[in-house]
Amino acid sequence: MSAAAGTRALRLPRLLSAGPSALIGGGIVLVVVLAAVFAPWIAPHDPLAVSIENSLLPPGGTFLLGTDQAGRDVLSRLIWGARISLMVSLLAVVIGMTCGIVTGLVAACYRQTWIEQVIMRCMEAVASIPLLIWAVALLGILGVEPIVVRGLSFGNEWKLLVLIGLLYTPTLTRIMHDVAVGEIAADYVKARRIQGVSTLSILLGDVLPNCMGPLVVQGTLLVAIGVVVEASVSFIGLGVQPPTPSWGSMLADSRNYIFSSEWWLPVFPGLAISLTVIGFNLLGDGLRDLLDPRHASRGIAG
Amino acid sequence: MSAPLLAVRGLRVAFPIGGVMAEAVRGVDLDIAPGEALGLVGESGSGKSLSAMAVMRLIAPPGRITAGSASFDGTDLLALPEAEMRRRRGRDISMVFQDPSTSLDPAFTIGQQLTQVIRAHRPELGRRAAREHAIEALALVGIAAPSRRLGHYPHEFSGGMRQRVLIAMAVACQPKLLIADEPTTALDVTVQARIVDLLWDLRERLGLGILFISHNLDLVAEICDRVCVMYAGRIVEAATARQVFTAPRHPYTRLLQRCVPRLHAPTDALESIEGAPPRLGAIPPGCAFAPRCPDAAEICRTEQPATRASGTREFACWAVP
Amino acid sequence: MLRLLAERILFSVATLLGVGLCLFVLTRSMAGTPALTVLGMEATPQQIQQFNHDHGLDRPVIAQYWHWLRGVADGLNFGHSLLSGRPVGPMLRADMPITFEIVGIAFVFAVLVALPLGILSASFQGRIIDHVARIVAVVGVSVPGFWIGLMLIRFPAVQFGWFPPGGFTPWSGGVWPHLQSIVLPCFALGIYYVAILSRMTRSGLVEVGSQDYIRTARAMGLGRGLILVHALKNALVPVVSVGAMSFGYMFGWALIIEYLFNIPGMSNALLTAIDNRDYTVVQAIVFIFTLVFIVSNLLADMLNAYLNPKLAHGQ
Repeated sequence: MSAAAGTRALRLPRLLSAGPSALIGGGIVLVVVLAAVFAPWIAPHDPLAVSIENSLLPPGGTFLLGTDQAGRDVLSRLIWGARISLMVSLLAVVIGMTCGIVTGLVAACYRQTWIEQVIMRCMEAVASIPLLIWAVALLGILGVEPIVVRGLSFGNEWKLLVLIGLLYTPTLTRIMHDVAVGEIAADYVKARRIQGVSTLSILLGDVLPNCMGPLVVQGTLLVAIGVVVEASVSFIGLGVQPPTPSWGSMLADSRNYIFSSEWWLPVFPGLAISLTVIGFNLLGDGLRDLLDPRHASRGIAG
Repeated sequence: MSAPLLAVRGLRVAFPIGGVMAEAVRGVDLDIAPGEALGLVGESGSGKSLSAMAVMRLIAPPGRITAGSASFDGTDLLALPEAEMRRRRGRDISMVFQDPSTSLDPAFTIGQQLTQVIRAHRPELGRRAAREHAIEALALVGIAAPSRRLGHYPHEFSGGMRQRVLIAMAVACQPKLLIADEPTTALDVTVQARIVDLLWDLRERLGLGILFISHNLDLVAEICDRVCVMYAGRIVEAATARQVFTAPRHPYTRLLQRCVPRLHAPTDALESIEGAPPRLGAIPPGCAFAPRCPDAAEICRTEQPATRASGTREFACWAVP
Repeated sequence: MLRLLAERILFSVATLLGVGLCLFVLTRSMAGTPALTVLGMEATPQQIQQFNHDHGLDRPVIAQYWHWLRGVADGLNFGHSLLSGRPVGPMLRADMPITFEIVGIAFVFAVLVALPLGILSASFQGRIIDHVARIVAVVGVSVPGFWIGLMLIRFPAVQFGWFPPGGFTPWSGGVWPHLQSIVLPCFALGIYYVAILSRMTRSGLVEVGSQDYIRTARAMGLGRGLILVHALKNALVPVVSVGAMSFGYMFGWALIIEYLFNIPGMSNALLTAIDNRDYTVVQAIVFIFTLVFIVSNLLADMLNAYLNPKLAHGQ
């Protein structure tokens, strides 16, 4: 009996018929990811290039979306901002997933023992912490200077993403644990054990792949949340530090011009955030219908 | 012969399947006299439940009643505005369904659910009077300590008791007709007989007409006055219970009869009818039973048999003289 | 059931204390002493040491924590601001109600809009209202609240002058001006939860609508209103517990909203305290926020446990 016996394979026709949500969401996400990856080649101007004579120009001409108070091209800063937002959100989810998968699997393996109890209790405790408030407080206390490790400088956004990732762990642990418990109790696992396959091999080769569905769905939705959290924290000034372009800090800068007519300063970064988040949310919902049979068609757009 | 309590003519119900409307009920006629017990028998998917739901106007979209009339006490139920029909449901004509474990709202006590029905149809009753009625209804269906049990939730009752509660709700306002759609199928065998006894007891006491829907021909033929046999959305035979029991005419009825194992005439092998009923939307032209019928002739495959009456019996078959 | 409740409360208290300790340790060890801020940059080491001793900052951390906890338990004495020397408690007493009011009104707004929207969407599935509600939901969940706030300031407030562009008029400044000053922040804060709660209501109602007991209700001739009551009572169970949790989460987002609209609430006080490295204040505020969050989660769990077994038994 091969591992495929227990794997719910993802068939291409189903993928394509997943409905408009997933495809639209996927499309948006793809655009944003491409913009982030190819930023150095796509961005028309240098996002850090200051030129006072070009400051506060309205959209049009060489500066498609206008310039900010330092004469920097808004469009280029938006494109580079995508890099930071995606990096923070995606890495935060990666950290959360890694920790969550490990702790969830361990907890599921030692079901009905004190190990499981301790792990799940700890996760509950961490989940009792209000994410945003603690992120802000911790960043405030730790300071916003970059961390320098052996000559490599890690900007403040790294602290942020580690923090967010750790605070994501309880959710992902719980999902991993709940699904893994079900899988471990399934017949095919017993069959594999009888075949003499090692426990680790069963876990990694059979159980884990079958648990990925709900995890991927939740991960996608957490990326969306991560984008908003990064923007919010940068908005307050405790996130990505200038001059690195971030959509949140661009919005913070735009506050100075709230009473004047430079409307393009607050509008475009906000649109960028909104579109990105909509993309990930729609993608997550669409994936949920495909991959997570427990919650099919209960998404935000469903 | 007095006017029938319920007279259904030409009832047709259709559902969209793959974009096309497929008929699940294809022209059903039946009569129930006041106080009469009519059994409606058929396999799953024969359209028997749908016919009853159609009469009660409970068909949910996208399904639709596409034709027919259902004259109840002089009024065509299928032509009534919804508000009017709502007044009749539960008060003049009631229905109990198959699965008592999911048919009661778990969030309300059975007392609340009973009094809701009572006060919906008798708004003049105050709370205390309605409560008294509810207690009476529970006592009527044989639930002990009714006033105490009013405050209990559905999950505190066994399956058989829940079905009794549902029957109590159905007869609380003394309807003229009670439709029972496989009321015992989901219950233990020992409980089944008691529920049937209850229904017949109520029929006597309240002068109820009963439409008893089941897939069990034997049970129905034993307890009902008349029996209608349905196949693929049409009634293929309608006769008195005795006639169906002793001398069924339609090939399908005859085969159904033979399928039920009998204690007094043990056979070596269990009989079953070969093949399966046609799927919705894929009904062959001519008689729907022709593919499985041992007596099928050429005409059976091309033309739908007309219904013929013969004494107290009606049936639709080319093969039977 | 009671045992479960006691256990949950005990666990919550333990979490709060444990989390509070982490908080305490962090602020004490990482932030450094505010001595320099208070005494000035030229303070001598002796002056700093004296300052630290006076404020009990040179004792072991656990002892400091215990001392602080006792102060809180005794009379909500959160210590004194390291910056101004004023007691923290009374400072917060003015700020707390403001934050609670903003969150409270935003929450009520969210519920009052989400429920009817969800009910209408479920009742008229596939029609215009359902599509509109769905679009509102997708937008509401994705567009960051603080940007909505920013746009509201830029356009209805600054451009059209319908609302004051930030700032906060307390009740003492008149009922109407006060209400005007909180409309925008409450709206921006609540819109996300309008989206979430309305979709949950809709999907819950749709699922419940196909249940057998709704069929029974219709078959017994119950009126539309009563059938809706049956549907809601069952469908709203998950919505209620999510709602309770949302109340706690809202305090997090309120931080950004208060910052944006310059509202003198607890969150803004937190940001100011962080800026000033006034960590007794930081500690007190984060502790209170965590307490509120834990309590609302506890409430959500309790509500869930209370409402669910009634229904779970039936299955």
